[in-house]
Amino acid sequence: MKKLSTLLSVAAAALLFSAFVSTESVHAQSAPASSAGDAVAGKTAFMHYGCYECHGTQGQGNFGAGPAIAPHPMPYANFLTYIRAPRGEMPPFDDHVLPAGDAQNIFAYLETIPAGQPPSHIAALNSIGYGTGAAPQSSAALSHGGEVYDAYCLKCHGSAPIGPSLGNEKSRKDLAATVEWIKNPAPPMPKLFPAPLSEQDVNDVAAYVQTL
Amino acid sequence: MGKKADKKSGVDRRSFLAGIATVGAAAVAAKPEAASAAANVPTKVMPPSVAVAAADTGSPLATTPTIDFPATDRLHVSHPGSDYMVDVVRNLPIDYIIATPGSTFRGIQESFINYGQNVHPEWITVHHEEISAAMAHGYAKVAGKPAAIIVHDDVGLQHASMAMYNAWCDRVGMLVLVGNILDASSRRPGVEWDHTAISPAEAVRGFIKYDDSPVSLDQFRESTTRGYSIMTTPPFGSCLITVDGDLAERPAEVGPLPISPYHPVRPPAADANAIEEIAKLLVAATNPVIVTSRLSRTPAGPSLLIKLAEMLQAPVIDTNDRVNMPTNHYLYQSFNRSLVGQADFVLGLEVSDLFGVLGDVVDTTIRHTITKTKPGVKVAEINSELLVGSGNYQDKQRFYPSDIPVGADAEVSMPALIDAVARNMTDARRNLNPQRAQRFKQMFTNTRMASLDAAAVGWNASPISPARLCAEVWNQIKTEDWAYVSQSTFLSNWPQRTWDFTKTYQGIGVSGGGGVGYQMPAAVGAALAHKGTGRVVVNIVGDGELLMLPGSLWTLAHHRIPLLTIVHNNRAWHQEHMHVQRMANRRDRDVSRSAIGTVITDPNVDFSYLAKAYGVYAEGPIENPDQLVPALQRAIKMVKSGHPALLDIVTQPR
Repeated sequence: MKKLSTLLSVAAAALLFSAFVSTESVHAQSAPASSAGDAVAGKTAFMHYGCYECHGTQGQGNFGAGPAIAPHPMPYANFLTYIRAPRGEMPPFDDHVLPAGDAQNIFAYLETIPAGQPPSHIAALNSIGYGTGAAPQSSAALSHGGEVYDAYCLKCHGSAPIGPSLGNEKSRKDLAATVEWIKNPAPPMPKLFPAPLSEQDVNDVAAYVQTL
Repeated sequence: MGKKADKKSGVDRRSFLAGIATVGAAAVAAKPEAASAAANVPTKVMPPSVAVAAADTGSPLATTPTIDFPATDRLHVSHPGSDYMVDVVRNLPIDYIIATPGSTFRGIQESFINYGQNVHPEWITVHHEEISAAMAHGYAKVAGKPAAIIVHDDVGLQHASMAMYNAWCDRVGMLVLVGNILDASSRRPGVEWDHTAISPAEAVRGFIKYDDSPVSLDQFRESTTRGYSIMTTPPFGSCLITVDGDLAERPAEVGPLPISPYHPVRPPAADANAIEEIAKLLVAATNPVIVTSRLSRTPAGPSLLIKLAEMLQAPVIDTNDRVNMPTNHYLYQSFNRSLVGQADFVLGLEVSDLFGVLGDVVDTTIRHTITKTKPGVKVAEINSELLVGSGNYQDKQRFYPSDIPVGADAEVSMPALIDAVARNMTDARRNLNPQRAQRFKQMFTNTRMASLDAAAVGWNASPISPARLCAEVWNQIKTEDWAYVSQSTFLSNWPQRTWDFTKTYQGIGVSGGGGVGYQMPAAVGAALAHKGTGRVVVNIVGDGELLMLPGSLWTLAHHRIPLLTIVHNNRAWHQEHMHVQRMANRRDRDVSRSAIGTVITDPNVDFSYLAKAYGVYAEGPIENPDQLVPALQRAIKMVKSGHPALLDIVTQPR
């Protein structure tokens, strides 16, 4: 039992990796970009099918069980591909276990989940310090870059490593190379530009990665 | 033992007692005048107990209230063997003995509470032997020394066994005394046969370190002292000693030898050549990474680890089995485990599962092994775990073939390692440190920022998110002298991600063996060790855990142990819920039915009623997150006044 949490972490994180790995094939199938589902019904389905167990009732993720899948859910095509045929420890949800309509509704629910307030606006979180770490970034661009990083990069490059750690990435790629890589990555890293990441998003997140 | 008796024996009592009195530092005295009632003493004079010696030599301890020895006719027993047994236990640094009553040890129980005056050790009453063992487990991790438990043989030991197994897996020891009646001819028909075994330890021998079944008081003294020494020498493990009922209840007519002062065994330190070799590799490495689980045996652990890590600016991945690396230090990188993939040298310091950090076995339909390190990485470990013998139980985890395995206690080896690193340090290597420090400082801050962003999601949700629960608790206790006596696995590790653990007493790590039922009594045991310090001690316990041993709450109330218990009430054995669902998914079956047998609803358990029934202040169930802070403040006020309190919080899964 002790091992399960660790295994789940890797498995659930691998969910996202597989989704990214499958990006090209999904694009080739011209999967819809959005589910156009019913978010209210989706919340019910999210609970009924046990998604909340690993990913939290707001999709915020549970360390050691499943990564965050909201806010900012991955593209619907990736989402659908992955839940049908995950490669890691995430169990598969075939269409007769989780019908397509319910999957659409679940995705619609994930899309409605708002980002949390900035921690600085929540007293209990604002009071948590950074110990002997570096001072938090105050630059608006870096701050935005950090938000983009948390939303799109951390799932694979964070504590449940699917992609490589980006610590000291600047020793391997300078800012320009990082921007270029994000815009035109080699598989299995997913292509996130020009959507969902904009030019500004890419520039800011690249600058942020340079600080790691 | 009375004065009159000793005068009769002609022993040079004053000089003999002077030596004995120094043995037991906290001995309790026998009232001298009362002892004179012992007219019918054994013909062979028993050496005086520590208590009697202290009384007769004028020790300050002699002022302690004492006992009256009965007349020694055929209806009475004077100087029972169990009094001597109590002196043996009292000669060891054991402050508490924890028990559910059992007739097989009635003799020694009476000696502890009357002859021993119920101090050092103090008798702690519990509802279940599993509580006894789990309390001793939690206690030892705060106190830094074992407690004793005493159980019936067979039934009581069987009850205690799972919690003893947890402690074994966590490398924590306790003195387990087992009531038994070895002489078949003296057993009453019925239950005394049912509660006796030829070899009591057989039931638990796979997860203890030492056992014996003494048939004399001399053997009891020697085996208990030897067992305590073995138990408290790394790697730690429990010691089981049988307390024979006849030996305890009969007069100690054959005099046992005096009790010698106890001297602890020095822990094994690493070989000097190995230390030098590891130090050179650490300095030569481009990306050294330190991994640890149970380095801290004493309060010195964190400062030693900080010193080594800062000399090398090496990140530390702490599996948090103890408080090893302060969680607010920038080199605490436990949530960036991918750093092991960049390492060219890994140093493991008392790692409980080195393979599990550097590799994994993935829970897929067809399981396979993965390696997280890059090719060519060198791995050294200083680990008392390497000295643990193998057995039936598979708690040693998967073998990792370290390049330099050193079987020794890491904490005691640290000063020599730090010196060796300092000797081998070069200017070129030292000059890299500022850049490395900046990198890890930034990484630490980024990790905390990401955690705070994640905690903000669903902040106002109901059921309450564990992230909010933990953040609100931290906000209430951070200005206090606090301690956290729970494991964080089922809380998404929020405490370690956002709280500042800086002292060893602030955390007790994990259960070890994963046996459910550990958390509540372990927290009670840890809180017992904190009692009297004024600390605000917090226990966040899952509902499934608490339902295993709710009687632990009564012990809190009965012994006035201040502890804030927060029930992380997700109304499920959530981990198992996920397991069953995974099976349904893989078999293409209805996943929604995985709740059958894994949720705790219909009816929902009201833990506030439960706690009140045991005499503990309680509130709940609390489902509205806005009610959380006021409830916490009321409960903490109760705890600071010296009482236990419980809050039932309805939460998200983990």
